[in-house]
Amino acid sequence: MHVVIIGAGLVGSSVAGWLIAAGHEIAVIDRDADRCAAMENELGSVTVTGDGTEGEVLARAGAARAEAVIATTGSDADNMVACQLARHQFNVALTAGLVKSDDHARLFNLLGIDSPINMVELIARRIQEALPIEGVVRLMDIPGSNSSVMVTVRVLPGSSAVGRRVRDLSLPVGTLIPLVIGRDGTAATPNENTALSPEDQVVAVTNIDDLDRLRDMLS
Amino acid sequence: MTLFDYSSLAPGAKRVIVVGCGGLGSVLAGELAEAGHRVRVIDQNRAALDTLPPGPVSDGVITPVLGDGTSEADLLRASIRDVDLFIAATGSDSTNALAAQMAQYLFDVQTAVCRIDQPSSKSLYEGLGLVAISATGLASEAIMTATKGE
Repeated sequence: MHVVIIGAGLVGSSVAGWLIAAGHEIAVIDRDADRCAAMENELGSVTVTGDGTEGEVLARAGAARAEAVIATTGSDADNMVACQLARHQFNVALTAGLVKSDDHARLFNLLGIDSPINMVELIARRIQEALPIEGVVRLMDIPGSNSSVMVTVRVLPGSSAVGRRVRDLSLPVGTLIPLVIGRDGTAATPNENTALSPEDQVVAVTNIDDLDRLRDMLS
Repeated sequence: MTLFDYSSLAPGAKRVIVVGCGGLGSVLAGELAEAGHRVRVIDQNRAALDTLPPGPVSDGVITPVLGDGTSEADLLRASIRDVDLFIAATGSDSTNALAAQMAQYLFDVQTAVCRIDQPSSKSLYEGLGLVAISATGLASEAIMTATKGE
């Protein structure tokens, strides 16, 4: 498919590289001619020098036949305008834009931008995941749900959950445990008899409001 | 907490937020104040806010708010929940569109006006229910009118 990317910075370049590797056709818009030239050295003639918040520039990048437009500039405002132009003026099916704050992410949702990507939150989450901390690590939000999340919880040696069977835990209503990962890294779907051991990683799908209860129960 | 006391507001007077205290924003704030409205002007630059007319500022008719007009927290600090009119008048089309749509969608402000100079964006935002005004368009119209009058 044809994808228009706005912004030839770190994010834009990475996304461009992946899409080309996956066999898609892309056009990358950036105001900075040097950045466009640097990208063309890597990826070939894929850039349009100009302002991605202008309809005429989006048109030159082939927005009218694009199936997706991805706005990756450092400005929430510019990303919003580019996505709105793509959606309303070029009828692009899928729009995604980077945002730096929660309030802007909420606005992007209200505006019908399909995927607001909150960079700060993503980075914070990756850092959280990289640190060997106790408690709950959020893996992903369940698409299409406002309140369901997938998390992992590490079972601590002193936890009351050690030695208990998964089926005997009084989990918060609606909580599923699709996977338990042992300390040696083996992953298994818990069955009738699966009991928890210290250092198990319990993967759970639960309501966001029940995260504290789940952590208290397992770690 | 609200920065503003509207109990003294005369009937017909409007509560207005202006984002951006450049040439357009500061002149607009002065004229709105003169017309009897209460104006809060948000700008990130202290020096820009200092260009507001000192009389209405010391009378509390114009209130400068140092902050970012596209930040929910700063808009709340400027009491956006009780404004009648929101005007985004910075020099950046995108910033104006973002601020005005925050006012419209996050705070349900009745009338959101934004300065948009880029023609493609102007028609987009007019179609989406904002009042979009192009400074360059207005200037050229005025010049054309003046030329015809000669």
